[in-house]
Amino acid sequence: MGKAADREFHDFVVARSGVLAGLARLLAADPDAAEDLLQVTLLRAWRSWPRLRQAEFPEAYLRKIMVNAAVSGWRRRWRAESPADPLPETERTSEDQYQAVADRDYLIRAVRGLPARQRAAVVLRYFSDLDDTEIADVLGCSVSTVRSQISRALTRLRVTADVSPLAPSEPGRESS
Amino acid sequence: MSAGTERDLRAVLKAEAARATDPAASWLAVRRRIVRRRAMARAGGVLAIAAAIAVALATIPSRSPTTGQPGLLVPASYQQACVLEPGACAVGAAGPVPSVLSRPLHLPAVTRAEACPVTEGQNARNGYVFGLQFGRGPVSMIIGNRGDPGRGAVILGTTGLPGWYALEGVWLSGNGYQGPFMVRGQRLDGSGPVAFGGSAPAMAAFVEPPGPDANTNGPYRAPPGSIWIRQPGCYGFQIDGLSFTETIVIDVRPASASA
Repeated sequence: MGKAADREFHDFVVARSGVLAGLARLLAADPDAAEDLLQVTLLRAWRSWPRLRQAEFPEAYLRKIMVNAAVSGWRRRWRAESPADPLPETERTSEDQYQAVADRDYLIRAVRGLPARQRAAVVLRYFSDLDDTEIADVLGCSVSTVRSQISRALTRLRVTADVSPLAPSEPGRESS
Repeated sequence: MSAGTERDLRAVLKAEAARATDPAASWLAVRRRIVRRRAMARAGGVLAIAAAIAVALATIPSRSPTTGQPGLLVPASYQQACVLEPGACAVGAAGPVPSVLSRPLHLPAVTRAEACPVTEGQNARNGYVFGLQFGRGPVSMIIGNRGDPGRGAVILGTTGLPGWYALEGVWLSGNGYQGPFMVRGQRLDGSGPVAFGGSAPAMAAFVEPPGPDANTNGPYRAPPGSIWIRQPGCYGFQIDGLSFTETIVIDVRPASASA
C-alpha cells in the first residue's frame, strides 16, 4: 500500500475507530478480547484498504469484518478462548444504593453470555441501530433468521436479566 | 426487580460501548504488528531457504526416535525466534537463545504396533485459558481442539493449507516460571514433520523469550502454539526451560474420529 493510501487509512481510523472500539467492546467476551477484536479488524481492513477506500461507506465494511470475526471465533487462531464467566448469583436488593450500576453490569454480563450470533444481532440492532435487512446483510443470513436470533436473545435476556419488551405504545424501534 | 426494557438495553449498550479502550492505542498496536509483518516478509526469502533445508532434513529416515534433532531448526537468537512466532514475543526481545534449552531429546520410542504412551491431561477452563491441558508445568500445553484429555487424545483440526493439519493452542506458564523455554516435537510411531508457527508451518523449534510477551494475561504467559502435522499418530513434545525438561505425548486422531 502506498504512503498516500496508508495516510488515508490512518485518518479514517482516527476518525471512526471510536465507534468501532465500542462495537468491539460489546461483541467480545471481555475488554481484553475486545482489544484483540479491534486490532484484528483494523489489520484486516488495512490489508483490504485499496479496495475498501473505493466504497461509499467503508465503515460498514469494517463493521462486517468485525462481526464476522467475532462470530467465527477469530481469537482461537492465536490465543486460547477465554469463555465468559457464568453469570454470578448476584444478590439484587432494591435497597442497594448501587442498584442502577449493578443492573447495568448484570445486563451487560447477560448480553455477553449470549451465543455469538445472537449477541451480534442484538448489538447491531440496539447499539448500531441497524434494521433487520441491514443486520441480515452483515451476518450473511436471511431477515427471518435475524428476527429469530433477536427473539431468542431477548427471551434469554428476559430470563437471565429480566429485560421486558417495549410496550406497543412506547416510542422506539419495534422488534420485528 | 427488572433490569429494564428494550430501550434500557439500548442505553446500557451505548454506555458500555463508551467505556471502550482508547482506539488510538489499538491503532498503534496494529501499526506495530504491520511493521513486524513487513519485517517478516522481508525475511521471507531467507526463511524459505531455511524451511526447504529443514523439510529436506525431515524427509531423511529417522536415525533414532529417542535422541537427536527431529528436523527442526533451532533459532540462534530471540530475534530469529520472534520472526517465526511474533505472538510469542514482546517488542524488543533480543539476545542469544541459551544453549541449555537445546538439550538432547528424550522422547519415548514407539512402534506402530504399540499403544501411544500418552500423557494424561485434563480439561482447563478458567479465566485465562480454555482447552485440553497436558503437562504439570512449569509450562503446560493447552490445546483448543476437541479431544479426550484423560486418554491423551486430541482430534486434529483442518487448515487452509493442503496436506497440513493443525492443533491450535498456547503454551501456558504462570508466576512460577517467567524464563525462556523451547518446545520441539516429533512423531513417535512413524515419520513425518512437526512444525510450529502462528499462520503457516515453520520448520523451527518454538522459542519463548524470558519475561512477559504479547499475550501475557495477568500472571500468565500464553504464547500461541499452533502445531502443524501431516498425519494423525503418536506425537511427543519436549519442553526445555533453564532448569527443567518436560515431555508430553499425545495421541492425535483424525478429524473423523470421535473424542
